[in-house]
Amino acid sequence: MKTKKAIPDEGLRGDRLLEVENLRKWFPIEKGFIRRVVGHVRAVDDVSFYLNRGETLGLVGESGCGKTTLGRCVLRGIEPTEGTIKFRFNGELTDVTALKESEFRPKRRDMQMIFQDPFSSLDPRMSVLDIVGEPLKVNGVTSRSEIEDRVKHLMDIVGLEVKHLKRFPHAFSGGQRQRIGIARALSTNPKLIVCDEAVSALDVSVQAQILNLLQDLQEEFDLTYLFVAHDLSVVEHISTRVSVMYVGKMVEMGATEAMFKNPRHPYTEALLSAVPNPDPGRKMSRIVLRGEVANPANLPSGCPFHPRCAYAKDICREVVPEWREVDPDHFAACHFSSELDLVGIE
Amino acid sequence: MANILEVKDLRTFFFLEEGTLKALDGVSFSLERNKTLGIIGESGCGKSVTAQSILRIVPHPGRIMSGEILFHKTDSGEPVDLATYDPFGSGIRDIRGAEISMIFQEPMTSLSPVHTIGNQIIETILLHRTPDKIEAREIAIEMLAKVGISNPKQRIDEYPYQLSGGMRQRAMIAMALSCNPAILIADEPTTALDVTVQAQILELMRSLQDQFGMGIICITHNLGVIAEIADTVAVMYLGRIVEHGTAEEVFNNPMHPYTRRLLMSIPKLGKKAGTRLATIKGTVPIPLNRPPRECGFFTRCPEAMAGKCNVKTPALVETHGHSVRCFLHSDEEEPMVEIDESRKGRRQMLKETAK
Amino acid sequence: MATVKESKIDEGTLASADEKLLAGVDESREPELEKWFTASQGQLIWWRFKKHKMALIGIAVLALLYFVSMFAEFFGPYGTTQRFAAYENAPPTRIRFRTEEGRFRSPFIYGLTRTVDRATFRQVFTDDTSVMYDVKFFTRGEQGKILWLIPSNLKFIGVDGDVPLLIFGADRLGRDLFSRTLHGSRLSLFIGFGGVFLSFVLGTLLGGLSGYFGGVVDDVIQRMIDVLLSIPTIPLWMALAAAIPRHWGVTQTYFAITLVLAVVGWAGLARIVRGKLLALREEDFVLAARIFGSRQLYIIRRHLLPNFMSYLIVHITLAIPATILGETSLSFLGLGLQPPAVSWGVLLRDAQNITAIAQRPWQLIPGAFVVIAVLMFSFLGDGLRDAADPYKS
Repeated sequence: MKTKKAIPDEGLRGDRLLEVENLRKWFPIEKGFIRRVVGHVRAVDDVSFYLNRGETLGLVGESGCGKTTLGRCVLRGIEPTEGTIKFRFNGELTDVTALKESEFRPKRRDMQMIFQDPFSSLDPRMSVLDIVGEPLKVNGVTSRSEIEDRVKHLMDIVGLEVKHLKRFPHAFSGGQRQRIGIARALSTNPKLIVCDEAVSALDVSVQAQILNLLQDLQEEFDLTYLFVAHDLSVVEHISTRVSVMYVGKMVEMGATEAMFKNPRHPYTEALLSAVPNPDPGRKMSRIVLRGEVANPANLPSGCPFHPRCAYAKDICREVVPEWREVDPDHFAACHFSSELDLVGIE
Repeated sequence: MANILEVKDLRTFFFLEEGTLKALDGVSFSLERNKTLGIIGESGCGKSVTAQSILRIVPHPGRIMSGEILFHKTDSGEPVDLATYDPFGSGIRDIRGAEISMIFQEPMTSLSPVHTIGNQIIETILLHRTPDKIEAREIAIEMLAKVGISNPKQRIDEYPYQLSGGMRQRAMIAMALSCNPAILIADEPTTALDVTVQAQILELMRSLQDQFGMGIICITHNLGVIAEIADTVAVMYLGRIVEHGTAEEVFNNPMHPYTRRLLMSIPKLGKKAGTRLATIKGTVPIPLNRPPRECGFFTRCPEAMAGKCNVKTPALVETHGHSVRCFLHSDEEEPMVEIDESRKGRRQMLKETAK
Repeated sequence: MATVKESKIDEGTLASADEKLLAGVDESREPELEKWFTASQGQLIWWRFKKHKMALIGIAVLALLYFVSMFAEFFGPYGTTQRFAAYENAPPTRIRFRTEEGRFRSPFIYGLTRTVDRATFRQVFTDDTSVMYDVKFFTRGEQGKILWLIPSNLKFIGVDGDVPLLIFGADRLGRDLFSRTLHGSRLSLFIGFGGVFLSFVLGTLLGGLSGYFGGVVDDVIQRMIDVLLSIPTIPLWMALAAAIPRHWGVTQTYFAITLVLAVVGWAGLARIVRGKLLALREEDFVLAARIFGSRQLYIIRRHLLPNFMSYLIVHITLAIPATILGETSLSFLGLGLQPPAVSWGVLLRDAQNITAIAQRPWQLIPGAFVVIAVLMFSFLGDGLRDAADPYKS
């Protein structure tokens, strides 16, 4: 099973910030005292995608689909099992997976992360100054006053009051803590930020504040986001392109509007139709999927989505669909993406 | 249609070391048979405490300080006031799980991990419906089938960990409906579930309502879920209902600044246009040691009027087809209610409820 | 920058004076709140700990015990080996404030005369009321070395005259039990520290290795712990203690016993360290630190260690009484410290038979000290445990 390249020619790649090819993360399932490997959880299975400078790629999927693992693998927060991750350092696309940890460490500052849980992501023993200043210290800034000035500036940028510099995380609300996390991510002047469910744990009204802030920061600092989330409305709001994952595989990727209006994979169609609409007038008929998400340790044969797919035919049970470009810049992994007439959102 | 539940001026306070936390400060609403009331609010608005108060399971150090919870067991007879029941007495125990039951956000923590789901459902049935074990098991199997669990005869002997999140929530619903309750309280029933499973559960709740005719109180922060399932909607903020009306009214014609901003602040599918979201500044304050007279929202309200919103409490007034609590729409004030918060007052309250 | 400014004022606390007035923020409470907001975790723990009354009692009593034991030469009127002929197994001396005529006066004691009851052949001590001996504070007595360093013969309490002041009575060789208990508490109390310190080092090291490397190292260490924890403690101690050569001196035996106690004690601690380490390793802030380029050692030092230190301290506090009990049991059984060393366990050996307990109940007093010390450590540990996680509740 060889995946066709999802990457266009060199000439079109000037804006490319990140290219991920055939990325795999298989977690071994061990049994017994001698830890015999009896199988693998295919958390991320043969995923290829790219990110252009300044854009936001939304990564959606249901729990257990591997989106969080993928986000962490890209930053080598978790070591991927296989595949390449090319990132543009100083104008050169460099394969990150080929670097030793010690070679990669100084480059890490270009790729940062914002976390879901605003409580577990900040060390409770450190003040805002220490938390936001830590990446600077680790990356070689030694002068205390320089760190303090920079932290104050960052706090101002993310909308925290500078006078709260010495406060500890417990003094802040969830939204404010998320701002601290954002300031920390910004401190090293990164090019790419992976937002891992960055607004999922927040109250509705605070969620909007953080989404706006992320958009403003993107504009001001020319940031590129890999926005991992399960909420399709949020992803639609913030992303230029969206990619949908299902049990470790990408099933569809394309420009947000085009893809949501005209999905090319039945799973995307079902996801879109399942989102409850905050408009009581429009109780539309919806596709309710049968059954449960497949077990990534024991995938069904052929297309992993076929047991739940309303359009499944014999070939879906036997052959794994290819990840191919169905329209320019619109990829899907379905045998029938050209034939099916799938319903998106109006 | 007749009301099965009327909550009148309910006040539930938590007496903490730091002061009095007014989780519910004068909440009134009613629920009709075969209808769904949606309660929306952000964390800390008191929506869960409302459910706990109705079932009289408010955790320590919380206490119902005033108000009535009138439950109409039958259409004609006199209602009973649940607020006067002893929270540990047999009166409320007969109602809990039988006449009023509840489903929770996380089915894994609300089902016992060491008993099969069948045992847990059968236990409820034996407690309230029939003393016959074989009949109870049959009812349980029937319930599991009704909530869409395939192969219920086999599944009934499985443990919660053997089921997926969606299946557990179905089992939970089967348990809640096993005694044919008049009211089902669903506290964030789909928050822990994925969208596709959420859609399944919402559909299930709707079809079960058609079948059993129970009134549902659905508590959630997800505006989409409320719009899908609710007939009437109550928007809560800081222990009070700030807007109350039919779902169409509240969603299409929101009048309270909080509801309006809240609806504008959520991204909606299909309405992109690269816009910024409207926001509400600040966060929900903790309802601890608040001034006695104020509109709870005025600190975050863009339309707050100094000298009015910060010193007076607006009343929930019916205008334009639904009720709203805001001085922009009516100058009427909420009448002052004296609550004795002292130790003596609390004890007094306890004695009264024990009667 | 204009757009950023807009989203910035969304949250944050309200800034201008007008807004503050509108928001009803009480100005006078601000410094107090700020103090809480800028409090480090250590401070929060301390504030919570202060609310725990039993723990405060615990810490006060323990401080007193340790203080007195360190200055045993000063607080105890006599040395550990000083014997009083004709006072073997004498009961505690009564300190009196009233004379035979019923007049109140400064504290004094009578000497004792020993007679033998002809019918039961038991010793009977009767007060010799002919001479009143004054009880004096800050008197001079036998020469000793306070804190092993300062030679001094100053005593906190003593008697003017040549009768002994036996506050807890005397043992079978006529030695003052009060002085011996105070001296004994020094060994007993500090063996707790020593043993726990050793098990702390062993436990942190092995638990840390286990949690950090995982895999086979983890398996081996965990199985080792399983085996160790499955052996009944007392027999294991006895076996190990029996291996200590008899001819070793007090100091050598002391350290050997400490080692024996630590060998058993580290296992529980290693478990805790491993569990906590595994949990902390999964925290997002650890991943964050890795992602912005921290080295492993830095993460361990800066994030992991400080965060489980409070749990360790709690565990250690609760482990000290176990060690104290361990020493007492061993010495009581004759396998631990040997005379002439004095510890609570050694002292309790005198109360090993029924006759002793029935006729000379005061010889059980060192046992009361054991109970008090262990209880107080438990109170303290409870308080620390409740305070250690200031973000819970």
